[in-house]
Amino acid sequence: MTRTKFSVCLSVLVVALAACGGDDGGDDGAGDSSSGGSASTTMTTSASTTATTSASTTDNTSATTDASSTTDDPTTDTGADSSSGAPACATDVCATYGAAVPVVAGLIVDQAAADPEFADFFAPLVGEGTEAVDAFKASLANFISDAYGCTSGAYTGPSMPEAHAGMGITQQQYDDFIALIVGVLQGAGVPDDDINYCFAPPLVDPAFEAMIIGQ
Amino acid sequence: MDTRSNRRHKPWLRVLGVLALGSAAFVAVVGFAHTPAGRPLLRYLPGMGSSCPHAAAATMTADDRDRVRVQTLAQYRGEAPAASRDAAGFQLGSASRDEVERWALAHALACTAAGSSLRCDAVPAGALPPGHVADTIHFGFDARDRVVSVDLSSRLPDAAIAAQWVERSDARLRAQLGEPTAQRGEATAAFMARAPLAQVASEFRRTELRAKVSVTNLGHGRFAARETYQQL
Repeated sequence: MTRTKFSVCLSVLVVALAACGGDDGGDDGAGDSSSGGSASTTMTTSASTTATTSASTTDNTSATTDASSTTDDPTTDTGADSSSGAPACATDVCATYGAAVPVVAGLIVDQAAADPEFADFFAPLVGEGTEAVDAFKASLANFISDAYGCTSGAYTGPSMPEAHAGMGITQQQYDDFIALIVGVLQGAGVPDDDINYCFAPPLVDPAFEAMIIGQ
Repeated sequence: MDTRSNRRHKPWLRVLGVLALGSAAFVAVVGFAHTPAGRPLLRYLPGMGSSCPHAAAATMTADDRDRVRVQTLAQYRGEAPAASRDAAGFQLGSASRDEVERWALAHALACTAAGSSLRCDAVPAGALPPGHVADTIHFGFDARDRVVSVDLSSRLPDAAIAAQWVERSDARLRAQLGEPTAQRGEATAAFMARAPLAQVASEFRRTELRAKVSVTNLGHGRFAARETYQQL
């Protein structure tokens, strides 16, 4: 092999090794962790718990409920929605549930990875091990926290269209995933009023759906 | 051109040329490695096996998927044995992929295979036993091509029909498996219609299987119904 050919091969190998070396594996397709999610977890704030985790890793979220990365707080505390007459959220979501977001995010991932409709998406992440799954859960928690206005800038992953690009998420898959999240919230003891009037609005917003469906 | 200048610059030009070629090759290699055909390449590149995003998917075998499935479902194991393994007409753990494919063919279903699963859309009335409704049915198979999950998904047109469906489905599962492990919501039209994300659900956990029925108000007049059976 001539010196030039060797240099070409070496440079290709070096840059190729660097290409994915920094990835933490918390990528597309969330996975269930090996730890069981308790459906009886009660969502309450606790002064001793930490609501969010560091978002220093650039992990993705996928096939999860997420709002736009420009996080508008969808929950208000202002009484009836005058545009539709429907009740508005009467709970301070961040004060009441903020500290429990990491737990709920973990339960969502656990259940999605065990769900037959989503298991194939999540299996590779689960196969990467607990650390990768935990990183993904942390990223999801950051996203949820930002999405409901409890934090700002905690989530540093890709946008929702980017995170779901190429997955071809259908309306049915999106709907079933939202239903899964509802089950997690119910199981965690969140009252129906809070689910329906506080957590629902971004999840059933067609504009948000369009960022995930069909990407 | 000054030949002395050329001779001085030639080594640098050579290095730049190598770097340019290397960069182009890198783009080509990485780009190819992110295609379905190229992903197996990742396992042969040092350092990528455990950290590159697509390496895990590229190396996952059917046995790997089985292992992950059993691991993730272990938390849902119940204490009592199941009186029946019937899953919308298919036997969990014993029905074969061939059997499912024959059923699909017999009912002229358009099915798509992906990984360890088979998804059939536009399921006609009469393709399933009485009481089961599905727009889409999703089968999961283990490494030996036995049915380990059956998931029926459909969209219902209004709150009253949604409430009736979940009430009947819950009753059918109670007759088949006994009392539910968990139940939430009220199977009434008023409850289903109250607001987006109103949900009625029942879950049955047994030692060898998990079954769930749920119906959810998704807003905009949509109600999503699911009936799921999983071998543990």
